[in-house]
Amino acid sequence: MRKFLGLLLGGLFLLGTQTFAQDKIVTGKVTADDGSALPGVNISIQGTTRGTSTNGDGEYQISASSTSTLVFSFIGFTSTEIAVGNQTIINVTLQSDVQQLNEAIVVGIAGTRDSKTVGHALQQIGSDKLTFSKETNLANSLAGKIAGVQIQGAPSSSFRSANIRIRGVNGLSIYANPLYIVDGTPIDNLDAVNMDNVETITVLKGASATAIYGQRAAEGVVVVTSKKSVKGRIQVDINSAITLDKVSNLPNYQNEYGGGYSQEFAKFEYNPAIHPAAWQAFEGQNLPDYSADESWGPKMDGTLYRPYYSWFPSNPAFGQLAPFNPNPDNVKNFFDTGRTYNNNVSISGGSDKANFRASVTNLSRNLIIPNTKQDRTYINLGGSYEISKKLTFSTNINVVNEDQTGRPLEGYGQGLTGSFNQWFQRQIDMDILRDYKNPDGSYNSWNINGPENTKPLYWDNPFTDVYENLFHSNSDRIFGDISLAYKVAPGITLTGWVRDNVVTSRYDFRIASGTLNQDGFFTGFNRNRERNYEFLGTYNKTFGEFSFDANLGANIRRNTSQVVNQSTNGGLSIPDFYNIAASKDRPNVNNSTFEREVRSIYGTASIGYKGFIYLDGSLRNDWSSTLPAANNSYLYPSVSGSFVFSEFLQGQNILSFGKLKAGWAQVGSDTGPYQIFNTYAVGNPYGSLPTQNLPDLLPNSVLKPTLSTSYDLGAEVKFLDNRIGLDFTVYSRRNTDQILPLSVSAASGYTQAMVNAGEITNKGIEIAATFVPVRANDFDWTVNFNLARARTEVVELADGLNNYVLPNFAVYSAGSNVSGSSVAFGPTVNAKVGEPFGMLVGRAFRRDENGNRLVGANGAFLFDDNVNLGSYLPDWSGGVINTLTYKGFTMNFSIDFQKGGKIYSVTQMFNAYSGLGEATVGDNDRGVAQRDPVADGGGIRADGVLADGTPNQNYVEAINYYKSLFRLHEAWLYDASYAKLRELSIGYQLPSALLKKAKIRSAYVALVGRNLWRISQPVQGIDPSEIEGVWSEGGQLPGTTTFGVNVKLGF
Amino acid sequence: MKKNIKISLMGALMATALVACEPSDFGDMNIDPNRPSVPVTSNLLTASQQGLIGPITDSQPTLYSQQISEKFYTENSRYGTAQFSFNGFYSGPLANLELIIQLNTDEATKAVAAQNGANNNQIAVARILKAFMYWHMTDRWGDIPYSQALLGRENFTPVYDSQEAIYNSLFTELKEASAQITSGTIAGDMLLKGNLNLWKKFANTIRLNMALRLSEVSPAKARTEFASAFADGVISSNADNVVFAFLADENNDNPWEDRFQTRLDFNVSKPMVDLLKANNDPRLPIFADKAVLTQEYVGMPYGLEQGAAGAIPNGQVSFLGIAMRRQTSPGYLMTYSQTQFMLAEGALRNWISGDAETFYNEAIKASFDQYGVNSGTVHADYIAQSGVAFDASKGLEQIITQKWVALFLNGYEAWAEWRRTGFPVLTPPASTISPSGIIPTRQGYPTTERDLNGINYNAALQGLGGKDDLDGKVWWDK
Repeated sequence: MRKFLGLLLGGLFLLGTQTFAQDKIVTGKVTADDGSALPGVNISIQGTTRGTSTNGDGEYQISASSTSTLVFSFIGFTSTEIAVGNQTIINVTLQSDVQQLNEAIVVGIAGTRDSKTVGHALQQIGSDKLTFSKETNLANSLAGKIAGVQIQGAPSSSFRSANIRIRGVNGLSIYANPLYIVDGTPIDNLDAVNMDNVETITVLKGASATAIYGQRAAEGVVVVTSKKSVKGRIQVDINSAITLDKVSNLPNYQNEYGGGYSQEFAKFEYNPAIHPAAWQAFEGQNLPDYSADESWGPKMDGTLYRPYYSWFPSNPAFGQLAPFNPNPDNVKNFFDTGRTYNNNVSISGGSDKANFRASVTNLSRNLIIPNTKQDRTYINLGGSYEISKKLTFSTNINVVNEDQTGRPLEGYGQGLTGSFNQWFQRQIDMDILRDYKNPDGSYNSWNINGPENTKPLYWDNPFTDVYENLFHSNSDRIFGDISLAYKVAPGITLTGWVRDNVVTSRYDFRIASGTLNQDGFFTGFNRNRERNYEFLGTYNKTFGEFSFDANLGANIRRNTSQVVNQSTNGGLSIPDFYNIAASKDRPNVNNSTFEREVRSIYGTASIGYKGFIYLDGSLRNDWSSTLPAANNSYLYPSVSGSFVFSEFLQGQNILSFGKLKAGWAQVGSDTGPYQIFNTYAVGNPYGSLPTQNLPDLLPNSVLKPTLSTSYDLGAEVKFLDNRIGLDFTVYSRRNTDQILPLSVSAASGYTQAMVNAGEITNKGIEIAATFVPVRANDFDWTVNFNLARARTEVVELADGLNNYVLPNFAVYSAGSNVSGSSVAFGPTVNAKVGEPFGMLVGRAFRRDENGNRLVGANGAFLFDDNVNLGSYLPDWSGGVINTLTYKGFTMNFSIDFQKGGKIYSVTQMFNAYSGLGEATVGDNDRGVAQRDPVADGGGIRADGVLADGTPNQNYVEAINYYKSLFRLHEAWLYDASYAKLRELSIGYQLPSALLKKAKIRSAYVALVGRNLWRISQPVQGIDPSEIEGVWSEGGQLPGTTTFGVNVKLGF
Repeated sequence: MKKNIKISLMGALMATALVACEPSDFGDMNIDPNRPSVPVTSNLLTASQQGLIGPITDSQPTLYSQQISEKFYTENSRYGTAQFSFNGFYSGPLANLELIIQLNTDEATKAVAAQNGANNNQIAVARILKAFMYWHMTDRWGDIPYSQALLGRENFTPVYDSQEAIYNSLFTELKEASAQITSGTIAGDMLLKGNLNLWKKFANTIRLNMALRLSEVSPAKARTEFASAFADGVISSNADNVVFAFLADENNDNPWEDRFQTRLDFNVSKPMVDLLKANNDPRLPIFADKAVLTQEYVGMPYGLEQGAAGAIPNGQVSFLGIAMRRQTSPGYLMTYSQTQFMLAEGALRNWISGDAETFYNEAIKASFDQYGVNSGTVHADYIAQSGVAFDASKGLEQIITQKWVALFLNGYEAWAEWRRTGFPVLTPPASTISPSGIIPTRQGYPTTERDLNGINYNAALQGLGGKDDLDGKVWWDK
């Protein structure tokens, strides 16, 4: 095999080099119809993928054969074709054309190509559509804009970055991420991308497009291309935006009953054995149940009572009564106005020999959660220098620094919303809580043990949480590349790159002394590096009607990481001294290093005929350090093609463009490091006795690489002068021999075993459409629409295994440590043979043959466990972007949506369980308040039938009814369909005539907004596009609505 | 042209060079630097013994046995969970113990293993601990994987052995292990500090206890095994108690301490407090704290619905006594008091010679000593009270009821004895979450078994009427 590969690749080179000498150099200048020079015009040789572009003076130089035809294209101008013939100087004037829609698109390693020559499934989007609302997060900026791309996992009130899911699920994992590439360098975190610097994002979806990126591209590739300089002049651009966030998506709360478990106030009973003498005066005063963190208490009807703070001796209100009244906006009042300041300056320029672009961006954010701040600085520098006619040096260097204070806790049982939406007393006045520290330095809380013991019981004051239990983190990242390109001869270039992506981060977190939980300090360092050495030889050539391109590449990728995590144990020996040295017991320390390497060589070849048929192929071999030596080499091919059939339909006005495309590819992949050999982990010591454990995961010394195979078939058509465009793709993927830690019966001594197993198929449809409903002199309206459907089915698991329970993580987003408890309260996610992937299995209402819910003799619903409750994956997802321009005004807005799928809400469950939700008040079906005693006509009748088929007539107390729905999964599972107006901007481009005097090149001002209208969502407070998990949430942070102003100036 | 050929040759050479340089060879890169490749038997033993914490400190069985009542979140008191995982036993301590036996048996490793004690002694201790855990497990779940368990890749779907077969095998294991012990000591034994004589007594007392479990299902076998275990020497003083010593260290402290760190969930149950009060029991102040508001000992009614439970203020009921929930409060695995209660029952049944009343009184005294409340005439006064004083006509009820008190917080043992004898008489909650409304008599298998070992799991359910719930009965429960 190895010999064969060597011969093949060597042969490619020999084949290619025989004919290039027929080319000649053609030069010229391109001007616009108004006579001005046009920089940046694309010049390609028809039928090939070769091309160049004009410099700042509109001049170009290209090598082409006399039989070839040059195609001059530039956005906003009609492309022009000129046969070379005998000419060596070709000057061209391009006619402006607002209807022009063709574009050059990024296709990966070999750079850009004219979109019509490409047979891959991919979609590209420019910065105008990405950041019009000043979204600073790459994932969010893509929401609803690319067919088959969905984002998930980040509430808009958190710092977390959402994850991107392309084409649904492709394997036995819900957490797989696509590969992110910025100017050729792979990165591991979207936060590294400065959105002000982005020119285009291309999402490569089909495996024939991604195969050449190797195994990490199995879930697709997101290729980010940065803005480049314009030759010939220095440009300075300033871009500033201020946006403000308001909390906007909270659940509906009840405002009738306050904290407690009983509607009767307890009375203060003076007991000289435990109470100070002065308290005798309090005899008989109304006491709510301070220890309760639920709201089944007395009616908030103004009755005088002793609020919790009236028991703090140092509080001026000590001993005073207050009316028991509702505070409907108490939760809302907790939140601040979030602020984001985004300032960017860039400078670029270039000469014939050199060009550069540098930019600095500062992004400063405060969330709606008090005492949270993130400060990020991006420094980006890119440029190239032509050392000689043949040798060019290029570089991209990016520095990203981030400093963060505060980490809004998410997940069940965490502070903030975990409390407000799950465990709270509805009467609490947030402004009184704001004073969270007593004069004596102790911390107060609404949830005290009682008058005799005013220490917090279950919950700290939420302000204590945000101001005292501090989290800090910072990180420094450097990524980019240097490269040398050597033009061996016209048509042949050899390029070498060294790419690096290094991130060093640290965090610390404290639980303050004197707060509810045992005080402690947690800190960690983490250093990750990915180094890539790349070599690429490119060759292109035209023979008569044929064009030929070939690439030969090699790559060595090495990943290393070092992790040190430490935490105090058993509390702090010196209160308020936040250092590992303060650990009372032996501190917990963990240090780990990881290393892996993949070596690759690959080749691609592309043949075009007469500019309407193109055929591409690739072959790649990887060697991975993580697989057993005998199985660590694997080869995989891809083929794709496109056919521009509209070439044969000239002379009609309906179809302006038509293309068929098809692709087939395989991608092999490896596993994580250290999955092959047995190890015996060191556990917690018992005193001076060390411990070791046989691992729960059984390694496997005969692992093989995984293989996934996929097909794409599609068509692109444009009608009526390109006013209607449709891009339609169907695909099918088959993923076999996946390497996974398969769950096995623990009775074997292991809970998991590394195996090659399973067959998963993933089929789908993607439609991207463009309409131009209005195209008038001053007014244009363009609609971009996309829709996708993805179905994943589990065909086979392992021998004797029909169901695989997916590992339990509530939230998977990078860098988050949300507790998994919401999963503990929820159903499990399963891969069941013969069923759609992502089957939720859990507790359901027991039903009779007619589908009626059955109720037991005690008036509570009966239930069954282990019932299929449907897949969490949606049926359809998509989005619409509208762009309207009128003279200098531009309005953009985007809507995204999904139909179907399921979402499990722990927030909703506890909102009812704890009597906080609106549903827990109001009248029952007898017209009596549901919270009144059953004996008085209150209570709730479970709406179902008894075993004998007669309707249930038993009423149960409201508190017991809602508690009986605890963990009854079906009751808290919602249809995950939603639609949302995510982004809006209204901008004005100032007329250039006005600006000339001020020596300003361009000026633009816009009003922007985000998450303006949640058109529909499963239940108030739960936006499926912002849930913290993939299919569940618990203690979800609330959503926000954002407004702002954006100003852009160019000099 | 020549130049171009040169270049293409160069390219071909480069490609060939790349593939020729053994790209498959990564040296030691995939050797895990973060976890040792070699196991040390003493380290494995300590880790295995940490696996005993659950059996002696779990809260759920203290609810089944109604020693403890939940204050407000009464879902567990009302049997809201049917499925319980045994996975941690197999993949944790049992797998470690199996490895200890293997390392002390294999010719290649036994010499190195012997640095931590004679091979036979290490094997014996590992076998006794394994037997204890399997016994604990089969008493909770019934039939479980045993004969084909712990085989790793050789068998990912082990069959379920009948509880009867497991009991038979465990009796043999414990006898053989005990006989295998030679003089000397072993390293890594945090439980019995390398005292091999105590391991023998522990093994024999487990047999004594197992034999008692068979009193209803197989009285003849019960009698034989009971007498044999007694003759071999059982725990004979509080100094012999098998105690898990929790440390004043967050990673090794008593879980009951953690449960009370930021919460108030567990009260002493009304049946327990009422009994202790009726008998003027000196252990009451140890087991329970006074109610904060009333300064009285008040038991929490067991298993109320939350509407009713919430109406009782925290300050008016007794929470678990502070002495029982310190970081270092000991965890009793097998005690002298418990052994004396067993012997009292054995004598009552005429399985052994001796006076049931003497054993019974000694058992109570041992418990008082264990909790440090036996001074002056406390014991004599206590056993003289009517209701406490031994009465052979209701001897079994008295023995088991007093044992239920002595086993406070050893919920699994108290629950097993209730299942076997029906004592003390307990009333299930008025409104249970489990559909049957009765006190559980077993625990459901983990759901992973249904998915991962389905055929054998379903076969095991045949003996339970096809249902995997809390209501099935294990073999010895007649």
